[in-house]
Amino acid sequence: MLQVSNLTKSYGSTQVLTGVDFKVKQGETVAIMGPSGCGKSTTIRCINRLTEPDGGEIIFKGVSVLDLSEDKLLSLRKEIGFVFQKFNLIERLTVLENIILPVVKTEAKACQQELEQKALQILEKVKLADKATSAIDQLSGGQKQRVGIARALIIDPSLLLLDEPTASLDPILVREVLEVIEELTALQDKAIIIVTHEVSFALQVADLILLMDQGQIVEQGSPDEIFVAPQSEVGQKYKDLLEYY
Amino acid sequence: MLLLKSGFGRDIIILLVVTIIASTLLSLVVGNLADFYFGDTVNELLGDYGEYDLALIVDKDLQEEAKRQSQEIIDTKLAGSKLVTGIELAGQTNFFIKLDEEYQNQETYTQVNEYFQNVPGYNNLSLMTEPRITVQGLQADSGQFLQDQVEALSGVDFTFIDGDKLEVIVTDAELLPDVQEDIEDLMAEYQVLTVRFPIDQQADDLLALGDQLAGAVNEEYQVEAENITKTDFSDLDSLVKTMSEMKNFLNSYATTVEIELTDEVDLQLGAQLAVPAQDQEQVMLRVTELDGQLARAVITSGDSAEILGGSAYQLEGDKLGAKAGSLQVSNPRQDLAYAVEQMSKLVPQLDQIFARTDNLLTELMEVITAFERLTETLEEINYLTNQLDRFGQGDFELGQLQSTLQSLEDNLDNLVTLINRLNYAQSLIIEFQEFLATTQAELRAQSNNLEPTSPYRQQLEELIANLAELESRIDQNTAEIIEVIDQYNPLLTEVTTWQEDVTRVNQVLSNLEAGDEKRAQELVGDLTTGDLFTELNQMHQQSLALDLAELEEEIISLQRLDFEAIVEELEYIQQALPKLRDEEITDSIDLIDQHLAGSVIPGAEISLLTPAEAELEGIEAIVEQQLGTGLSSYTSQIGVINPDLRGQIYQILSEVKTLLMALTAIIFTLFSLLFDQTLLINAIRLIEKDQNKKQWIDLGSCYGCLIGAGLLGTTFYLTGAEIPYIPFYISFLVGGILGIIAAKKAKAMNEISQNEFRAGQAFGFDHAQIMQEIIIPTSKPGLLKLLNKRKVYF
Repeated sequence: MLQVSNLTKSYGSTQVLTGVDFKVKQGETVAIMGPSGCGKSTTIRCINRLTEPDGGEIIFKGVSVLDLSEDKLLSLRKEIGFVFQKFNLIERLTVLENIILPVVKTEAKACQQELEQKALQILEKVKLADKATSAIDQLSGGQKQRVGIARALIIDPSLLLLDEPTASLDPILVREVLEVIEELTALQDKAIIIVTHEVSFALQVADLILLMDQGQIVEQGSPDEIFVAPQSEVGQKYKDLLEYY
Repeated sequence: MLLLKSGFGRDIIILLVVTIIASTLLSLVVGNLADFYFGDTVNELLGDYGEYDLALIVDKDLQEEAKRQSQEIIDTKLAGSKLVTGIELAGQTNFFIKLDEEYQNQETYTQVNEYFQNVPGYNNLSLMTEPRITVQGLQADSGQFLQDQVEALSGVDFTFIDGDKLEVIVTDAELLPDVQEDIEDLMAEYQVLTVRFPIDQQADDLLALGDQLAGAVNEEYQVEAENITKTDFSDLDSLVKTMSEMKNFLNSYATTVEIELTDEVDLQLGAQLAVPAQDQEQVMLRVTELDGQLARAVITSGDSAEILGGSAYQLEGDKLGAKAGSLQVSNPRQDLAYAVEQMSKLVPQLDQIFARTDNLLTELMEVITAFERLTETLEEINYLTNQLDRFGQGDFELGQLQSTLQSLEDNLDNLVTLINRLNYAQSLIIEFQEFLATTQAELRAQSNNLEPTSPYRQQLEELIANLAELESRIDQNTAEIIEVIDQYNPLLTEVTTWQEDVTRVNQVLSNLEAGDEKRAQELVGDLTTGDLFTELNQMHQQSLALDLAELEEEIISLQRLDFEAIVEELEYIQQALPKLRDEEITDSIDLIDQHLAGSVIPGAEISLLTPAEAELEGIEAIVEQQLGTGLSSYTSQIGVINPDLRGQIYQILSEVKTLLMALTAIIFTLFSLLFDQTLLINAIRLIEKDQNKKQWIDLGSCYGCLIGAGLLGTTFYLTGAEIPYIPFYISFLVGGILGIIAAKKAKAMNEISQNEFRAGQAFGFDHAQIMQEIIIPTSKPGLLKLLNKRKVYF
């Protein structure tokens, strides 16, 4: 479904990504892990070109993402759900309006009822059906992130990108978000790439783990491969961490 | 700029158009509202254009009577003209007058002020006739010269001079610019050369001096210079004269101090001297004149009444130093007070003179009568003596003799009485002459106390002269009387003896018996004293050439001088004198001097009208040669064209209107920039930053500058807004500056949530959709938000 080859990105003189290569199959859940500043978020932002890469190749469903025109890029983004670390909800809108917003410009207005229905179903899935008409500032951090996930799901994405979805949450609220994501990973119609520091969560839900360090993928493999017999220094640190807990 | 390239560019253009339209409309509305409001006010004040010819302004309190009398004047002198009550303002009422066509001429306008100036509460009569051009500030008497030429211009109905203005009534409003241009051209052909005398230098015959200078200028520069010197005095001239007179008045009564300087002292004009005064204070003097060893000074601090001792000292610091000299203080105010007091005492003395003079005249008349009677008496005595002689020759009758003797006794008694009366008159004359001499001396002393120029002193001198004349006349006329009386006095004893003898004989005769004629004859023979008769007969032949008419005339002329009135006047002057201390009088004189020396008060001046092209180089030398030194000269325009009042007001209103529009446009543009454009500036910056390209310039500031310039410049252009003295293109500059200011304040005014922006990007929204659905709805209220409402989904 997705193939990233030799992806590079720099900010000024700072090289952020260097020759990043990986592949994601449909229905696969990929966890990208690594120390802070290693290029995890930049990598997944480059996939839908929220951050414009300097070079490399990204093939999504057989289409070169980097060669897309502006219009087609926008269309591509409508197929890829994105969950932000800081939720990035529209504060002035209610929960339901936030969820519907991504599709209002693509769906006919006559279908608003259907959209609301669909949004309510998604809210059921993220366990926020009772918060549909609530204002954003009335929600907890965990609830906001679940609204963010629901908003990403409204477009029925074939690829869901989650950029450290629990990083901004209190540890108590992390679990309710991880539970929702865990349920999503069970769905076979969409691939998920999640940037996370949650080692146990990755071990539990990821099909593939990419370990990054200093803008490069230093090791990739199944959780067992990574956490049992790590080949990289980063991998060893994660293994030690897992053993510590 | 990606934002403009996106579909949002259309939204921006719509926003700009709407902003410009709104700004233009608002500016126009504000400008026109102000225009209508002030225009209506002006029309209420002045009436419509050309509606009225005159505005009579009177005190509000007297408006009813003023209106009645004004209507009467109009009915009698301006029949057919209309009087309309205008507005009341600041306690005054305006009456507008529309002159009948018959009276719209030079003659009426020249005289009309006189018609109304006695109306109760009259304040002013203003000219309102339109179309009109006013040439004001006419130099000297150039008005008449200009009037003749302006009247000959095409489009001029008539003209008239009003003070230093030439009012030009134009036949048609459309001709105003042409006529004004013609007048300007006409005035540009001439210049006025003004020669001004120093303030303290008064020229006697300005016209003659002007002619003299004009002749010299004509000869030197070969131009036609015309003498237009003005000879009537302006209020300012009068003020200057009054101040000069006031200065002279104060000087007359200011205390002067004369100091006989010691040999050692060396003083300069203006030097300060001190004189010990009461309460251990010092009276300060300033030296104003130096004449060898004599210095004259005025008191600059203190008063002459406080001076102790008779010496003035130099100052060493604030203490007395070396003696400068002996001083003599002269205080004319005290002298006058003394003179008044002394002269008051003379009033009864003069009254006594008049009374005595009357008495003297009566006495002198009596003397003349007495001389006449004396003559008669002497003739009677002579006759009676002859009778007695006949009795002595035996030819008599006793009864007849007794009767004759009785008559003789009576006549001799009269003669003695008359001679005594003459003696009394003589003593009276001598005493009166002495009194006159004494009075004259006293008057002379008082006269010396008065200023030489004082009219009262002149009257006193006249009085003294009259008294002297009277004394002289009395002396002349009474000298003969006194001489005659002196001749009679030696005979008085003899006459008295003879009278006693006659009385005694008469008593004896009354006791004689009839027939004793012999004894009677002897007694009568003893009575005849031939020498006495001879002397008396000789004396009575003399005539007294007294000219009492002359004396009477002198008395009358003396009485014409109302000496009491003179004293009263002097007392009045004494009371009216400023109750000032010497230092205050000196300060006042100094102050007047400062004002008189100031350049703000012009002195007398001569004005010449010369062609404008005449280059009067070196005119100062000619002026000095012709009129003397210390004069200043300069050239100026003949006058200045003053737009009519309404034109000026409308001009101001027009400027106010365009200024208000400009201010409205600026304010609206600033609001638009701050509330709408700052959001777009932030969006541009965010999008450009997102491109991760090196930014050499701040596109947000460029956008702000361009939009500001475009908005304000276009609004100025469409509305005609103007800021006085600032050219139109500056509006673009101001707009640009406002745009840059807005760009600087953009983040504070309309910050965009980057998280929401990223969310929009992740949704697959283009920039227009992000702006419409996410950014604008959360922005500050403004036109952008208003226009976006129809596009936003939620």
